[in-house]
Parts: sequence; structure tokens; C-alpha cells
Amino acid sequence: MLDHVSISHQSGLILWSRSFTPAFASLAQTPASPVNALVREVFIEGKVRGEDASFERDGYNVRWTMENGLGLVFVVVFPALLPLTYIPALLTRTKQLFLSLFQQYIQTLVDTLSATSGVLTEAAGSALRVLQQRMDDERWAQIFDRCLRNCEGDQARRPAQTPISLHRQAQLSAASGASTPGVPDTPTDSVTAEEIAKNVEALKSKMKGGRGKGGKGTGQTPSPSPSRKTGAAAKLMRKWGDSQVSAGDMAALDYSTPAPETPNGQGTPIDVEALVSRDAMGQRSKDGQYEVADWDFRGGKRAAAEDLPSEEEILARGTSRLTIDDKEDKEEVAGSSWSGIFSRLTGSKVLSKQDLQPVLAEMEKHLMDKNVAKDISEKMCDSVGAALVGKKLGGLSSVKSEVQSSLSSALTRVLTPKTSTDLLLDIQRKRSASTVSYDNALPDPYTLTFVGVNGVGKSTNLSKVCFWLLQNGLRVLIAACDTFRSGAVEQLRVHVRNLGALQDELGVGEKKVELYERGYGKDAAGIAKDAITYAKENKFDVVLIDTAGRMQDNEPLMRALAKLVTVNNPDKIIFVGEALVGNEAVDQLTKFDRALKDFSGAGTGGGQRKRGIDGIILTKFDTIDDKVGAALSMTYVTGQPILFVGCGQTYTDLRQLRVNHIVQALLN
Amino acid sequence: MASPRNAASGARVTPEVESISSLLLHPLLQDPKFVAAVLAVFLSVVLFTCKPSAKRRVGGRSGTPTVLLVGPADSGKTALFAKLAHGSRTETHTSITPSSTTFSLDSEDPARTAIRLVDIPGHPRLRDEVKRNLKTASAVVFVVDIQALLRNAGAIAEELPPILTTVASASLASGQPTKLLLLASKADLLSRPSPTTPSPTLSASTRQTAADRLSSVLTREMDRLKQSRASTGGRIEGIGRVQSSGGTGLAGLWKRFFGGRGGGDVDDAELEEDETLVWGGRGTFRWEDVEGVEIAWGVSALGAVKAVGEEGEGLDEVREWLRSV
Repeated sequence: MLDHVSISHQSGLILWSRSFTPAFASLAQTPASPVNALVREVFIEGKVRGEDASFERDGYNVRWTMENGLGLVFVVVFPALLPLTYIPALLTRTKQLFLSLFQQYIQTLVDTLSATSGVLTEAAGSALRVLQQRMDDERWAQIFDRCLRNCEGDQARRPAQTPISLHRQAQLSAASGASTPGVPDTPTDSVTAEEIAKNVEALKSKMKGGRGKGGKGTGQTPSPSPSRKTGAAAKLMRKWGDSQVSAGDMAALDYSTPAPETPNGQGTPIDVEALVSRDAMGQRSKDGQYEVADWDFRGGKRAAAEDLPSEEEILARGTSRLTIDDKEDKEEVAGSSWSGIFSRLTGSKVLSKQDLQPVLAEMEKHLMDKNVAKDISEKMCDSVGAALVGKKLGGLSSVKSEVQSSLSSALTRVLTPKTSTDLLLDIQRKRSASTVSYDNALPDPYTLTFVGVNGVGKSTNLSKVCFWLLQNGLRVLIAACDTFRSGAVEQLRVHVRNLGALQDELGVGEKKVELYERGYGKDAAGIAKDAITYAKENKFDVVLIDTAGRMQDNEPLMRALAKLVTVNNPDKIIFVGEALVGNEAVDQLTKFDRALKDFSGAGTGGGQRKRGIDGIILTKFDTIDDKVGAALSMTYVTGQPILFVGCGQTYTDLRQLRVNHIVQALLN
Repeated sequence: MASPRNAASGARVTPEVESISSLLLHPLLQDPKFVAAVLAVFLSVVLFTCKPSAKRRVGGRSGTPTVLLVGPADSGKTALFAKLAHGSRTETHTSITPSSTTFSLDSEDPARTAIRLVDIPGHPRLRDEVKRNLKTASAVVFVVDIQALLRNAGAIAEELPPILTTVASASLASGQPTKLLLLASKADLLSRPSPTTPSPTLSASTRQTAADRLSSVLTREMDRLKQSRASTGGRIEGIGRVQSSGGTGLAGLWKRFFGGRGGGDVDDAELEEDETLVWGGRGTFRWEDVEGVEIAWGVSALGAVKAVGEEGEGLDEVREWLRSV
């Protein structure tokens, strides 16, 4: 049973949608709807790749398919617990039907949405309304319902469908007033034996596929009688709608029944029986076991098909257009590239997978040359390719430039931070928040924890950050929680002495930086806790916690780190990573993030929120020339921003990331 | 140019020749030989002469004015866009791509009241689009969901300074002030019971509440931002442009010939945009201090999604402001 179906454009306009439950109908309108979550996390942030992968949110499973040429998104939402195997088929079928019915109207709408010139067009204002009107006229809601029923091979879900058919009926009666009978009715007259046979074959093949996957479902309904009953009930209700709309058509179609029976519901069983006897002949001889399901299935199809144009006809309408395109393509391949040039100039060249493949492979190699981790460059190129297939190549742009520009925007999207990177503002907010809540209490200090593997420059960059904070007039306490490596505390002591001297030189009276140390071999979490308490008593604004470097695979050490995080709950956990790493960057970050989340959540019985990495400092940036791939790998893996870039030996060698510079360096 | 074979045999001697040969090896030009090459040259000439002029037309403040809808995600930009440009209230989800439509506000005088409305996605990852589009805009609407404003005032306000900075520096460059409307959208959701008509008429008190709330919250947050950012001491610079290790191929040649005047240098100049344009002098933040930006405040109401019935005056304020652009 589905929850929600929607067809929308990438600009955010929902062209058509339906919620099957009232609860979801209200949820769909809020920003928290799973469809919004899908758009944000999959399309924009690129967390899940490919349409085969499903996306889960709040107990809903979301599947989707895209139409890149027009920029349409087809989304189906259903409960995550239901293993609905027909969803991909439903999506493709819906996409085909919708496109073949409304392609030209959508095209007009899309043209008006992407109009870059300032030319006022007549169609601009009304394109959306025309499309909606058109959907009413073609009775898209019913076409979709039929498509859904066809895909739902499972009879057990039939009863649940009845409210929809009620709903549909209401819509039908509303639509019947508006729609002119001419267009959809004429095709039904020409339902020939040939076409029925074609339908039967198509359905058979579909049923076989459905049965293969959903074998369990059919096994669960051993008695055929209930399903038959409900099927009949559904049909009766549909007949009510039909007899209002096109009684004459039924008469025309139904050759075997006498005329007076048709206007009433009486006509239905005879009609269906006639169909059954014809269709069941071939079916029975093969396999008797699933015969009932087949029968009902086909019966539903027949009943609905009487007033609506059949799916094959709809598709045929669409393919007549497509075949023209195919011809053009063939000419292009076979003949001179004159037609190729011409089609490019007119903007009718559609990008295919074959066109993109060599360029994407080249791009992937190029990214890897820039020290981007292998699987990340693969994923980037795959997603760029997926977004380009089916797009029209406009003007004179080559495939390569198209790929390059879309890769550039994809890189920008990955590198652009989605959360605030303004540490000073954060510090100020925390201070003002804690002074508001307790009038007399001392404000809590803002704590930053630096984590990372050995030798990436945690202490060095900690002191650089410290220098920057001091410059902004904040009092900083450095907690030496690296109690393992010899000389770690001394290193920090030197830094503090230097920074203090710098402060003196710059003429600040008060001593603003101090080191909190407890020697070696102690528990780091405890030292950090004491340091924070000390900082609070002595009115320090910021506490910088330096931790021991550790390999991401060393579980005891990672547990110790998670303990430090759990006990002290720092405001930001900053991962320090060197720009020199290639494939290793992914491993480091995922494992640090994973370990922090797993171990810190478990410690306090799940009451505390799980902590992952909040930001990244990219160090040794001055050593890598233009091989800036680590910046991409790191932001891609965590989705967290690069707060600073360390690029030299002195305290002032701390920079902010400029996204467009990185993108340029990556593509150059 | 006379024979491709000659050019190809002369390849790898000097970079110039290599460029010609690689041009000729391009699939477009490979087959119909000479005529196609001429055609390509002709077309590229056409392209290069047309492109800047087209850019100028859009970029200039003459002609159809461009109005941008910006603001955080889920604040109702696309709904507003659909209602204004397409005249229908539809459901929306988070936008992925920007959309733009030219339409006229007044059906009686379509030529003079035409505006180009651009709806920009609000997701922070797509911030890039905002910046790119702001350059050509003659007016900007910053749409804020008045209910969400209370919950995450800080995050919403933080989006303003970059926009203000870009707008301010763009209008300083062109000499014309840019208009900015700070719009409290979904104000009808504040009134009880919630109205169910599309763009309902707001009662005076609701309108007042929304306007007050918007201006007080935004001013407070901007003040806070100013305190932490306006100080010039201890600022961290951005990283410099990464030196590329010798551009190869056509792009490198292009740069060598034309003095490296690619897109990057233009961006560099813009990065120097200073937030001091926004913060003004000492003391608390005042909206009047923002240079080159005419700031206006507005309230809009855009009814419940499944609304039916008479249209109210909920959008009249926005329409009126758009007319003044």
C-alpha cells in the first residue's frame, strides 16, 4: 500500500501528487515531509547514489526516478516495512505514461521556467494552469490508478484500495462535467481482437515477472473467494462511474450482450464473463495454481479500460513522437556529421550514456590525478553522468564542456558548507545564551576538541587557532590531553609561551592564554573535564582540547576518544587531516566519525545525542601544489565544512577555504 | 587551414600548431573537411560577438528588471513564485534548480510592468546560485517564514550579510541602489483560526504582529552578527588561488594568449567585497547604514496549500512593491 505519489519539477513545483492516507497528506505539506528530505539529502547533498538505492526516512521508504530532459522527478513513498517489489516497474510505467500524455505541455512549462531572456511570452503565465487543466481532461488520476492496480499483482492489498476508488469515483464525476467526450472515447471503439491479444500478452509477461518476485504474497492468499469478492465489489463501483460517463461506449464495445442490460449494473457480470472465457483458455492449460489472480487482474484491467484509453495507446501516442527522434539519431550515426551539426545547432541532440562514457572516464581519471580518493571520484562522475543522461545539448557546447560545467557545479555543491562556519559567532552565542539563562552563574566556556591520526598537525594548528582567537580578544585555555606521546605537553607549553609573548608584544595587559596540564599517563577525559571546570572558574572563553593522535583502526584508543567526547560534550569536534592523503582520507574520516558516533552514543544509554565530527581543518596545504583532492574527499565523506586550512609554519598561516579556488584547481 | 593533413603532420612542434590540429581532430570538424571548418570558425565568431552583448543586456539595469527571490529553504519562495508568475497556488517541495519567468504585473500594460522573477533554491549547499544571480538583479526579495524565524533566527539572519554585501558592492559598481524587500511570508498562519482561502486578507493586527516580529528579530540578530564580525582585528583570510601546474591544452593556450583573463580573476575581484559596506559605523546595527541598498519591509500571506475560494489581498503588498521596481 502506497502512502504518497508525486510528480514534480526540479524547480520545486509539484505537478501532480496524491497522498493515500490523511496522515501523510498533512505531513506532505510540511518541510519535514520525506519527499523534501529526499530532495535535500539525495539530490542536493548527494548522500545516496543511484535510483536502485532506496532512501528511508521516518519509517517511510522513498523511491524515485528522474527525467533529465525535462527535469521531472517521480517519487513514490511507502512504508519501509512493506517489501513492495513492483515499485520500480510502477515508476517506469508512470513515467512513460505521463510523458507520452503531457510531454508537450511540460515542455512549454519548463521553457517558461528556464527562460533566461527577458522576453515576455504569452504562454508564460498560463503554462502551469494549462498543464493542470490538461491532466484533468485526460483523467490522469484514473490512468495512474489503473497503472498502480496493474502493477500491484498482489490481491491481498485489494481491500485497502477501496477508499481510493471511492475517491476516484468522486473525481470522475467531477471530471466528467469538464471533459469533452471526444478525445478519450473514440479509441475504445476500436478495441479489436488483435489489441486484446496484445494486451493479454503484455500482461502475462508482466505477471510472470511480478510472480517471480512477489511469490510470498500470492502464497498468503490460499482461498480465492475473498479476493474474488472484493474484486467484484471494486468493479461494481467502477461501473457506477462508467455508466454515467459513457454508457453508449459500453454498448458499442460489448458485442455479445443485448442492449437493454447495459445502462444498469446488471450488465457487468456478463461482460466480464465473456472476457474471461476468452482469456482464460490459454492460461488454464499452462498453470492452474495462479489462475484466479490472473483472472481478477485482467478483469480489473478490462473494466477500467473501457472508458480510458489503454496504456498501450497512450504509449503509442508517445512513441510516434519518439520514433521521429530515433530516425534523427540513426541518420546522425550513419551519415555525414552535417545532420549532427544541424541537430546540435537546433538543440535537439540528446545526451546518451555512450556519449558521456568516454568523457566521464577521462574526468574520473583527472580527478584522481588531483588526489581525490578513487571511490569518491567515481561517485562524483557517476552522479554527474546520471544527471546528464537524457539532457539536450544546447547550441555549440560539446559533451565535454557540458560535463565539465555540471561537474563544476557538483563540486561546488559538495564543498559549500551547509552549516555555519563562523566560530566567533558561535562562541558569542553560547556565551550570551548561558548568561541569559542564569543571571549570576559564570558562562560556560566554548570547547573545541582536536582529533586526528598521528602527525597531521593537531597541536600546531591548535596553536594557530588559539592565536586567531586571541586576536579576537578571547581568553583561551589549552588543555594538554595528549598524555601519551613524549614531548606533547612540552610542545604545547612552548606554544603557550610564544603566544603569551606575542600578546605582550601587541600590548595586551591581561594574560589571556594558559596551559592546563597534568603530566603523562593520566586519563585524558578526566583532564579535559578538570580543564573545563578550571576555565569556567577563571572566566576563560574558549577551551582548546588537544588529544593524542591515533590510528583510526585502533579500537581501544577510539573508545577512549569517544569517552572524552561523552564526558565533556565539547561544542565542536574538529578533525585535523593533512591535505597529502589520497584514498586514506576516506578511511580516516569515516572510521573516526563512525567510532565517535557508535561509542559516544552507547555510553550514556542513548540519552545524549550521538556526536560525529563537526568540522575539518585541512593541514599542510602548502605542500601539495594543485593536488587539492583531499579537500573534496573529506567534505564528501562527512558533509561537514572545512573550517580552516593550515598552510605554513607560523601562527598566521591559517586560512579560510575558498570553494571556487578549490573547484578551479580540481578542474584545471 | 587548407589541408588538415599538413596541419596534423606539423603537430607537436609548437603549441600553436598543436591547437589547430586538435581543433581539426575534434569530431565536429573531422568529416566534412574544409566547409565545416569554415562554418565552425564563422560560428565561433558569431558566438563571441553575440555572447557579451547578450550578457550586457541582462546585466544592465535597463529593459526588464530582474527580481530575485532568495532566503532560507522552506520559506515559501517557490509558492510565491508560482502564485505571482503562474497565477496558481500549487504544492511545492524543496527546489533543486532555480527557475525564472518573465511576466507582467498588470495585464493592461504588459510592456511596462514586465518583470523577470527568479526563484533561487534556499538550500545552503546551493548558495553559489544566489551569488551568481545577484549580480544581474535589480531587486531582491528576502523571503522569511515568519514562524520559522523564531526557531532559528540566528541561522536565517546569517544568510543576510553575504547577500547584502554582494548587493551593496554591485550597486556601488553600477551607481544605482538595489532594492531589497524583507518579506515575512506565511503570515496568515499566525492568525487564528487559519484562513483557508488563497492569499487571504490579513487583519491589521496580524499584519502588524508579523511585521514587528520580523524587524525586531532580524535587527537583533544582525546586531549580534555585527558585534562578532565587524571588528577588523584577527580576521582570517581566504586561501589564495591555487597555482595550476602549467595549463595544458586549449585552455592553457587561451590563457597564455589572452593574459589569463579567465573567469577566476573576475571572481577574485569579487571576493574582495568587504562586509564593512554592511556594518556601517560604530554602535548598534542600523539598516540605514547598509550602503547602496534600499531596504523595505513587507508581509505576505499565501494561504493553506489546499485553499479554495475568493482571493484575498494577501499578496497585494508584494505586488505593490514589485510595481515600484
